[in-house]
Amino acid sequence: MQTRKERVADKPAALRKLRSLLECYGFTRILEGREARCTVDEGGCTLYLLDRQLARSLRGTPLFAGVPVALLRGARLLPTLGLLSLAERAGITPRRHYVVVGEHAANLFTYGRDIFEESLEKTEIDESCARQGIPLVVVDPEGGLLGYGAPRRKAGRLLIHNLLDVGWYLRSGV
Amino acid sequence: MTASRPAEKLEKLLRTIESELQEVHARLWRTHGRDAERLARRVGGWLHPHHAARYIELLGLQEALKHFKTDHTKIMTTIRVNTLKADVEEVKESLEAKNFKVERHPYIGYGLVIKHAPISPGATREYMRGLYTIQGPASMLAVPAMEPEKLPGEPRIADQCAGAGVKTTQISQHRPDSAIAAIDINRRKLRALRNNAQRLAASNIAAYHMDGRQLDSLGAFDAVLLDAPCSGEGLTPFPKGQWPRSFDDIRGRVRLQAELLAAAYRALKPGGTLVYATCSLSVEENEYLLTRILQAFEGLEPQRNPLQHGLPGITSYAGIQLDPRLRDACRRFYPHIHHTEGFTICRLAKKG
Repeated sequence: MQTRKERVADKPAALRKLRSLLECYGFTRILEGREARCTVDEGGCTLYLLDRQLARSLRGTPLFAGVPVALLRGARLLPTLGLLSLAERAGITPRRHYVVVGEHAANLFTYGRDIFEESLEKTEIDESCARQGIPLVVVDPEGGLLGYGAPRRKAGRLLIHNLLDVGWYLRSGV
Repeated sequence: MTASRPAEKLEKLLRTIESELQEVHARLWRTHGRDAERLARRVGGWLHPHHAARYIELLGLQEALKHFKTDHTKIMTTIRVNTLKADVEEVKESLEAKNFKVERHPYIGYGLVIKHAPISPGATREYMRGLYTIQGPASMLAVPAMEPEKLPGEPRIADQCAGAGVKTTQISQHRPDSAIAAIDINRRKLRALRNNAQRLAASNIAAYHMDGRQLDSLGAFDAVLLDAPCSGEGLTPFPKGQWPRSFDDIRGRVRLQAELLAAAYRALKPGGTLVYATCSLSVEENEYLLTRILQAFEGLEPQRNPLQHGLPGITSYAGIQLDPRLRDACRRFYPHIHHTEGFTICRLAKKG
């Protein structure tokens, strides 16, 4: 059985992967004034970003501290909705590796649906990010960050497959 | 020997409260029992005559009837704009563009009242993106009563019974440079808190799965919010709040509230602020309890409540003189007067 201490050894690798993820989107600014911490969970580890003053004054063993921004699953780092939330708080939109969708498609996406090519208003897929397995950010017409998708080809047409969207907050039932 | 003294003091206080409230309730029943039974029949099956008797004492018969007859349609539906991510006008305009009818909250700048909603306010993209959250119109006044923005330095703040973290994230909004400890005994609620912190981008919260009565094990705090587990009597306008509450139910709640208050007192730094709030208008759970706590813990004192709205605290009840300083320290919000859920919010401080 792995102990909490052993799994924390994953942290440097997880942090490196987080940095590449943030660089891919142009989100590195959300690290300012924050620390990253890796908390062991059932599937691997959850990376949290927490404010430095909170990190300094932590006592005891919290269940969690800060906002979860990514999950480490094996060698893969999967971004969470918390990452987009912190980017919105910082007032930043992705510079690379994103798609902008129309109003109707934005609503459908938050219900867990995929996005068809004709609903894409702008497509900025970065091949180097894609090769690393980093998902695209899906953006609505107002610049709202709605979730993550993966580009697929279906009958010769581009399709953005829904990986995770902000409607999860409602559907999760928690 | 000395270590057991605070525990003994608390046990003595709990015994005093229990026996005094038994006497008070017996007296109330002798005085108002007959009217209470009539009132309970008139209001409907959910109202326990014991509950009715306490409110006849508090409000008088006619006003108690008005209070119990107020239903949820009279209560404002409100949202709290998350100023960490959006400004109030931006959210208002965005919702209006979706055919919502929205007005400013009468008591608080970042609150909005939803007058008409084509879809549930909890199902919009703005909600999902964390530009606002749903919060009761009086519930959102507990954090302003603490004035987290006026605490010096980089304060440590505790939300002693944080639940899903609606008020915890509000503290974060008032004071993004603080370190907030959110405590709750219910693990499922803390999962909801994590989702809320994530959605609202509140990155200065640490959540602890523990009993709020052990708050002091996390060190000292500059401010504590104790939104205490209570009888929920303020929620009687809503169907979910309509269930019978006997005298025994109230006494059971008061015991837990006293223990939580004692822990909050121990955890406060000298000069620290304590906001005690309940979604109840019961005097037993609010001014009466605080009067006895102030007598037991001399290092605690009431402070003028900065809220400009609501009615002042109660200073006498069922023949008992309560601490007169609670008049200014507490604010009461009544469904039939303020169109909010029933709420009592009191502000205290540990002497510096």
